[in-house]
Amino acid sequence: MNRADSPDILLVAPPEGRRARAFQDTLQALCWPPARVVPYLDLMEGRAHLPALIRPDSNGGRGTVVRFDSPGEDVATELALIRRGSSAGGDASADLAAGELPSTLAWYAGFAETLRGLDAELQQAPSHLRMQRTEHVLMMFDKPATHARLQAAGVPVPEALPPVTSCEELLSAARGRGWSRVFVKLAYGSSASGAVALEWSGERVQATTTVRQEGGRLFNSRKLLKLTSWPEVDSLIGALAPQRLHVERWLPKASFAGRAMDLRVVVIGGRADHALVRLGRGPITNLHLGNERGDMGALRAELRSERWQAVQQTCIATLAAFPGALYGGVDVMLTPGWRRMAVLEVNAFGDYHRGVLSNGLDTYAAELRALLGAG
Amino acid sequence: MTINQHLSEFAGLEVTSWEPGQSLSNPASTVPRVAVEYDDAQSWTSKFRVLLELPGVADLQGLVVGMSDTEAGTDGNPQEMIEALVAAHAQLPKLRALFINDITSEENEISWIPNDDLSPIFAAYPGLEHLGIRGGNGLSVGRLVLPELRSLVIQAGGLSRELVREVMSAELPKLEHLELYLGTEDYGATCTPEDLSPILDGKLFPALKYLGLKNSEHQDAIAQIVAQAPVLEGLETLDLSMGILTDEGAQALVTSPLVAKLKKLDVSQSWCSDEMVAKLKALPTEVDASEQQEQEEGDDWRYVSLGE
Repeated sequence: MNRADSPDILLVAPPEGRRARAFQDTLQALCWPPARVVPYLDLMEGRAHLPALIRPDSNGGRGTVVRFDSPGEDVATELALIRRGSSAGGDASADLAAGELPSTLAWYAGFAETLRGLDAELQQAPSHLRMQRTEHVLMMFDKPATHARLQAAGVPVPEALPPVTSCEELLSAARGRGWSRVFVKLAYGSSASGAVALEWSGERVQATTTVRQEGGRLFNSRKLLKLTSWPEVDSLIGALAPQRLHVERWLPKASFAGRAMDLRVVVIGGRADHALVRLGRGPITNLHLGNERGDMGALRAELRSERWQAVQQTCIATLAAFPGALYGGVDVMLTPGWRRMAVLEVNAFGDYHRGVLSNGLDTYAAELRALLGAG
Repeated sequence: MTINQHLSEFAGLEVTSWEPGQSLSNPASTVPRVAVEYDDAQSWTSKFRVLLELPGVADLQGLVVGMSDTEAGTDGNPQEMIEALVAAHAQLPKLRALFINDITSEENEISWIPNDDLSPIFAAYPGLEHLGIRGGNGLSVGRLVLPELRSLVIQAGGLSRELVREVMSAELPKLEHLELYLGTEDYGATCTPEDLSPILDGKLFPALKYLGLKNSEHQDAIAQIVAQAPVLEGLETLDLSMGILTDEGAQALVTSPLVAKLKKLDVSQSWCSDEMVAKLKALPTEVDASEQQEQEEGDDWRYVSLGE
């Protein structure tokens, strides 16, 4: 293989993270050279410049493939993003190592400023290929914007409330619609961070959440917590509200293998072939909360091909609402009896799923094939 | 634990979800599940009326009632569903298996499910052999007389003293399988272990083979009372699972000659120590002691498996 044809990939990510390692593992399995990894921090602090790292001759003259991965799970990177965005509000001194919930407003503002800055640099760079578009990534990290985009595109989504800033406003808006169960999410929260499943009836209330309040500060909990009194619930929603809330109707999830279920489908190049089943003991099914992967083959058999194809079509339509997007991780649920489906989230970096294969390719390999063509 | 899955089988028959527009594929061997969901355009009773017009309905052996109200919460009114069931008794002459409120926690929390006096249903279907009920709020079974009933399961976050007393004075001469999810005060339980006294001498339900007194915050006291009770002599299985059973209550089980003669003892999802689990497993009985929960350090509370 001569130099002009050799695959060259530049990975923007915390270099020690498990995502970066997983991506390198895939390249190794493909017998490709490892990606060159450049940390967000080096770019943010001027120690590295993206245009200088582009090799326009590589990949058959199409140039370096540039991949951004999640800046998450690296405390120093997260703090730098929060500091950069701290003018957007919120305390930039969160104790992330202890699981304290940072200001997601500041985090998002810092992340957006960083990505847009890098985007502007890449606009001036020699020819290269991108695995993501900046505006897609930023919209997928903005839950209200994503919800609005999908709704406008005719993708089934749970109904959402207009912006609310307190528990009282939330209840009044939800009750006005005849709802008694909602999911409260942070507009810029990632995974289940800051999520609350809230239900009420008469005088009774129950909130199932991953957020623990402690002396005026908020911490992520790996255990699901239950609050069953109005003052506690009011205080929690009040504490989350300044971060900007996105409130959706809580639709009942279908069950599978005795658990509440939803699906993560990574749509790649217009195909929805990489899917996994997420099973939860409670209303929040994110995998890192002690929940489990289910048996995808068994689920497909139970759904039968027609309904499975409908799920795939919905996921494909979801990504199509982001024209030109190479891939995205779509969270989709079905209601009991498989009667309806709804898209819950789209994840810009939702392709970290090891061992989920289609035609022998994992998510990263399928993305590279979709981007570069067979080879 | 929460109940996350609809029934796939009931009374040994396959349960399948049924919607208007579908036929009854195999009424003698499959059980339709009739339910509404949130925002459903049709009410439960209107769906049920469609079912009653289908060919084969007279052969139906079983029926599962799912959500009968379109919104979750405690405010729903099951009265129309109850009246519709009662009115349909002549059209369902072979009905012998009935489950009321097959509702998952995703649809409504078990302790919030609205229930009611179900005795008119039992009067209309005296041939029932299998009866399952979920949800303890407002639940009454009245003066329960079902000469053919083989199994009775009542699942709830908490059962009232009145309901437990109704069951303890029921006339069910053929009852082989009884499961009561007694629950906790937080979720509406007002019953006490003493309310279970009528069952202890074994004369109340002489055919009983499976006794489940479970999911109780008083599980230790129940274990102590039941361990020496003559009712065990006729049983194959004693099910004390899902409650706050600690070493204190389990000690009464491992030292009971009556427990040693059972075919099976279920103490899964409890709070026993490893040492006690070893003692339980040494019994000459099949013992399910899986999923013991551990108290967290600095935490002085324990909980039953099914609440919320």
